[in-house]
Amino acid sequence: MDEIRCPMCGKPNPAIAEICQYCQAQLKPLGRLGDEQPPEQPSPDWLDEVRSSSTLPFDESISEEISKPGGEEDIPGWLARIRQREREEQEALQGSEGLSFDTEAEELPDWTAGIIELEEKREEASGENWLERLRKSKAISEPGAPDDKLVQAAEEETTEPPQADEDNWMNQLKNFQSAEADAFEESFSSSPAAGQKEGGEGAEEFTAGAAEEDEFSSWLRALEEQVGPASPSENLPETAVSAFLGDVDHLTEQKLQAFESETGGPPEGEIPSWLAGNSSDESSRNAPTAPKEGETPDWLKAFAEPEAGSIPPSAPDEETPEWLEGFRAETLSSAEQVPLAEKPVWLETAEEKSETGEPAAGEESFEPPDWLKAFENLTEENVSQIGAPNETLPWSGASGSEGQDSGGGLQDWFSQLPLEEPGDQKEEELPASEPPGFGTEISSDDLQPEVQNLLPDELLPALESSAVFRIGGEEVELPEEATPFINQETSEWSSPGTAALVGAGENETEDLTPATLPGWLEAMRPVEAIVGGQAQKIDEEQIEISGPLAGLPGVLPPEDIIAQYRKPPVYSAKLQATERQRAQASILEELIRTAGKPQVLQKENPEAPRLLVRLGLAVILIFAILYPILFGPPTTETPGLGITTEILTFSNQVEALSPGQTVLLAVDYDAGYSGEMRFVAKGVIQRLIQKRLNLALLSTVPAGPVLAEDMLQRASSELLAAGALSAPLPPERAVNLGYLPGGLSSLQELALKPQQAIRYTFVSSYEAKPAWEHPALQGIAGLNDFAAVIVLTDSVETGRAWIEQTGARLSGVPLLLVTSAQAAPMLKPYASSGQVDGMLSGLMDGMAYERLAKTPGNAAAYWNAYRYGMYVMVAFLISGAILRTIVWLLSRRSKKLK
Amino acid sequence: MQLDFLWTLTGFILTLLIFSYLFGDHFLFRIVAYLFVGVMAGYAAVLLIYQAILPRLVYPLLEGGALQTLQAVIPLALGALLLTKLTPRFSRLGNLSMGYLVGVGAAVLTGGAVVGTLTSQVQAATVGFDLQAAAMVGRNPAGALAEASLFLLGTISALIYFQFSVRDKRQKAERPPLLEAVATIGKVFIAITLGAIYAGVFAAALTALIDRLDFVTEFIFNIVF
Repeated sequence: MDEIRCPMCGKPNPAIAEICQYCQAQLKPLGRLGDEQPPEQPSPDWLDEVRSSSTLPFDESISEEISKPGGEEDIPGWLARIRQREREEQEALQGSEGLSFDTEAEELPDWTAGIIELEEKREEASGENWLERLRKSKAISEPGAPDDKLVQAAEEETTEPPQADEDNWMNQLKNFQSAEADAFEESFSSSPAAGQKEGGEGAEEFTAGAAEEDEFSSWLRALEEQVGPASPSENLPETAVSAFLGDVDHLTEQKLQAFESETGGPPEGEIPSWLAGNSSDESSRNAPTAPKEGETPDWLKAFAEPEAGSIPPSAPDEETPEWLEGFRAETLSSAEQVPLAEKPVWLETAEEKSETGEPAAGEESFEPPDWLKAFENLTEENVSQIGAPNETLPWSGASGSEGQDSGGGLQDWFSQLPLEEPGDQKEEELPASEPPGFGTEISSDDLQPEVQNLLPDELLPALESSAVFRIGGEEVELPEEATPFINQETSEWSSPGTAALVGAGENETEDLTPATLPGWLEAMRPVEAIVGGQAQKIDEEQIEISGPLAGLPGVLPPEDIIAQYRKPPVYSAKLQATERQRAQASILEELIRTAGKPQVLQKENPEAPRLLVRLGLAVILIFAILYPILFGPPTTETPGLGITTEILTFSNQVEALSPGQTVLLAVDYDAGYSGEMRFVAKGVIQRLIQKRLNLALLSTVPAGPVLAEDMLQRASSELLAAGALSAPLPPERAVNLGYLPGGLSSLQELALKPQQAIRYTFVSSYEAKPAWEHPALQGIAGLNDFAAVIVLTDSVETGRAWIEQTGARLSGVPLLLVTSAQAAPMLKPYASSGQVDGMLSGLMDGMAYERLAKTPGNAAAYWNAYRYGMYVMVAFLISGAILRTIVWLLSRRSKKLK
Repeated sequence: MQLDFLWTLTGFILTLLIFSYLFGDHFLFRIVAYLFVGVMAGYAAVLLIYQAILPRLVYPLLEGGALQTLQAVIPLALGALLLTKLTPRFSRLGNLSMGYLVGVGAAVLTGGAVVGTLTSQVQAATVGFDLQAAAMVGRNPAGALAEASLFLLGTISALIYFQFSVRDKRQKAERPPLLEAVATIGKVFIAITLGAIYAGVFAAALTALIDRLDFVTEFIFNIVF
């Protein structure tokens, strides 16, 4: 769906709508209407008629006149006559230089020319140029010197930079002050008709060249000088400009009439018929046949609308200040109430006035629009003073009363000013590179000495206080940042000196109403302007009362900042733990720390020769052991060696075994304890061999199978050596089942399923044989089938595992233990409780069993060595305890002595 | 014969090197210690191959039936998962095998301890009060009662000694006076037990020393004479 979004309110509108349904804003820029007009569009009939009736196209003559100022051959005759008269008067004026002020006063002052130029610029932007027509019509209507100068000035503006005109503002002011009101009105008397006439030439005139851009700058700056200082950009009343434009239009109408009465009007062939009818034949009201609405081209529509203040924003945005944009938008909004094809009421009224020949003074009956009324008031009160020849300028340095009392003091000092180049040179000597901001405070010291000399004394104080602008009696101080102009856009007329002059003049215009911005413009203001104002207000309200900055305003309140920030909460990194948790943590830390740390051997104290002591003790112990072995008498007596109940029970269980039965012999001790275990178990194994029992060797430790074979071989060898055995133990009577992996779990498996737990015999070759096919295991299906289970172990855990895991599965099969002396204290309870049927532990029990079983051996020799060694060891323990006690007593005594 | 002599000579040298520890922890002693550890580890590896892996894993897979093969696959998978413990990235996969081993071991140990130790030892503690049985074996009933009472006192006092917990945190971490006295008695029994264990270790070490000295003297006598 085609929609046009309103540039003002942003709401969508139908594509065919020309104005916004919500805010009544112009949806299609008027300035582009002419652009949108196709060039090949046929001209309306009335325009063709106009073109055909003129011998020389009027629009072409005007356009070429502007684009080619020096081209005299294309100028129409009436204009040539005007220029001729202008030249004559110029020559006359050059002869009387002192009278130049008065004669130039008849011209249109430049500041009003600037206003006209502003309107021209608006029209130019919107594709129409009614003020251009006014200006040129004045030149056409007045063949006299003033108007000719205006035309000449217009021609010069096309070639000269606008700076030149802007620099002559003081001259313009001076000329304006001395200008007669009647001459001023006369210069504009014929503007409406001329404007209409020129406006009929169409768009060709708008292509007058880029030189008019400079005109735009000039008149715009002039208008800024008139309107800007008195009312800052944000406060420019929308009605003030409209009212002023109404006055200008009215004056132009009067001047056009005067021109026509004086010159008889342009030639018939040079003016379009409808325009000629309108301008020359005042009685014939129907002569200027206004084009029908359907026949009116867009550019002409735009021409008919500028009086309503509709100015499309066709000018480049970068060249247009914001305040002017706002102003333009305001005029657009006001123009929305006027139909495009219709002329504004006030313009029609003005035309009627011109047709009826009513004088300008009778304009009280003229009813301008509301927006024009406000500006009309401004012009009536202030600008109308321009018409008074001997009145003080409203923006002169003194007040109005003082200006009158002084008899036009401003005129006096103005009259003293050199009217031509010297004044421009003074301003050019000002430092243009660093122009103060618009409206900034200018003191008399800031001005150049030449300018100070030129300025009257009563104006200097005003310059001192010209930092502010007075609008309607209210001081408006423009901050430098708030100026809508940038340095490149402002010319020298808006320089501080100029601003001071204007500002001083504005001191008199205290009756001006304060400027107010429309709501939509307030909403469009940049946020920074509002914030900046608030910040300034805050700074002004707060004055430091203490500290080194006491008395200074604008100090940032520290308490506000402090109140905004709080000290961030500090979270302790310390772990909240109780004493108990800390103690546990320390214990855990200590355990972890020392777990993987190798134990560090303490260095020996040099004061205590531990090495010698250790060697001495070793020598004594070794001697005590070796002496009975080497030099002891060979005896089998074991005095003091008793036979305990466990030894007796064990012997009885072994003796209860029948030859040919199979005994499961578990060898579960490490090689380090083989010496002790060999002394203990050797007698048992010899007895089993002597009883012709089958032996099934098994081990739950890796070294067990090897130690078992070594044990069996030693026992057999000793039996053979002793003659207790006639032949070596045959292989079929003993089988090494090897290693039983799995620890406790393997014992459980052995108790439940021995064939599954033990599958192959332990051999030193790759040819493993099935264990249960061995003759010694024939008829063995479980642990219950063994005649006895004898466990040789050096550890409590292994002995207890055999008891716990297999004890319940044996069911009547004796479980006998042969243990090391170090495991005996922990395994004795099992023997006492009956869970173990017999138990031998240590060398003493081994020798006792040998003695009881009458097996061959040299246990008696080892017995003496064992006894002597035990004596020596006990002596060492007692000696050590005594020595430690003596040291403790000595240390205690020394402490007492100290 | 020569081979036995070489092995005996090796044993003799290694024994002397171990005895050199009397002069402190030196290089030779550490060599022998590392040698024993290395030999034992190598031997254990070979033993496990021939006594565990081949007969329990390889042979069932190659020669066994379906049931044996199935029974061998499970430990094979668990064993493979256990190898993942070598790499931290996949070590979590080995948790299954470790869980199986720990679970089965704990179950076996707990069951054996309850049946083989706890129940049996509690029952044995009460058997001593069977005076009639003591009389049947020819023991003095009074002595048997005293002995049984002493055993009971030692058992109870030792158990009370290991009671360290308190019911209330506000309560002072001290035993009641009665329990404190019984715990002290238990401490005495525990000390006697530890002394007996120490004496057994001392006797075992002395016996091992006697065996080694007998070996050394026998080797020397065999060489000299």
